[in-house]
Amino acid sequence: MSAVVQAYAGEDPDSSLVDLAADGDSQAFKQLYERHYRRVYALCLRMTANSESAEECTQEAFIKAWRKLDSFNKQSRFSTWLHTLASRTTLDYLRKHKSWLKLVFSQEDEAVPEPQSASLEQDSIELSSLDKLLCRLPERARIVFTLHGVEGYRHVEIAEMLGISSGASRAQYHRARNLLQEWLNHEA
Amino acid sequence: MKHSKSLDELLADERQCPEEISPKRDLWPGIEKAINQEQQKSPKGLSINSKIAFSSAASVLAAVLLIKGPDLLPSQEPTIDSGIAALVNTYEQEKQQMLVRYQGQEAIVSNWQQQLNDLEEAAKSLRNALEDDPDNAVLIHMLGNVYQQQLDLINKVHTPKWQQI
Repeated sequence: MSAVVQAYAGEDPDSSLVDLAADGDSQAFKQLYERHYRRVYALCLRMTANSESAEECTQEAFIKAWRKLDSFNKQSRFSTWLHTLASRTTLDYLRKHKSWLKLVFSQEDEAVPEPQSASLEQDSIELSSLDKLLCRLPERARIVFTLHGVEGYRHVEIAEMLGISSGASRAQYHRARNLLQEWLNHEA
Repeated sequence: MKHSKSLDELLADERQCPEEISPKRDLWPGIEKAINQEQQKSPKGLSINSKIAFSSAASVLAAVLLIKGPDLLPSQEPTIDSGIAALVNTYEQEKQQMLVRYQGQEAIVSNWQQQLNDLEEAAKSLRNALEDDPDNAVLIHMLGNVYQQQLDLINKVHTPKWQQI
């Protein structure tokens, strides 16, 4: 199911906390944080492949959520809205950190990096074998794979977020799949 | 890892692709500090009507109107909310002024008018959507963004490259 246009089915379990937080109740917002920060962090970590960047993006996403709660119109669940906000926040972060130009404008394929970036190796975070491989993917392929393959966004939504065509999004997704499958076969 | 599994099976395996991952440090103190500062600057807890009035899109509109003055609200579109019409008029006037200003000046990219048309089409779709849902703050905000992108595009393609460095 698309994370963005997920149908609003039944009562949003976060609804009452969202109302309180929108009225300025920071303790209610903390409860929302407690419910969702691990999922948001997982998204940010897979998109950035860097634990410190993921921490910054997670914090920024929740700060933005606090600021924008007034504009949350409840047409989707709070968790869906929060995840879209976190995805966009992480893309903004990558743009600010110069990788955006490479992400959007480079016509050349990114080289496949050396296995495992140092930042994750040094971390105490325990990642699954699949997540370790995912973090090895080239940036564009990793972001598209995370958004489509893990988070369930449609290619047209990813294309809008990244400022690329949906065909380019599909191509990056298949590139990621092929690399992951190749690495899995190699490990087997 | 179970190497016999395919990629799709691994993606469906909660242990291999967990929905949740815990960061190695507590991120809440930093967030709390930021939102406390936010609260000191602009306290929350306004009524629903006030929230709508002070939504981000309305802020954009107010800022533009403060700069440009109320005389920029002559012909309001009859089919959409008057506040939105004011936003549209303000941006349209600004756009027309910029296009006149840059008339005859060579643009640094050739297809900028197509890009501008695409953005205008997006703005048109948003205006249509707002006719049905005039209080939708997200749509209003998006409309403001699309207009701002048009202004930025016109400026950017007419600014010499050395000025963009």
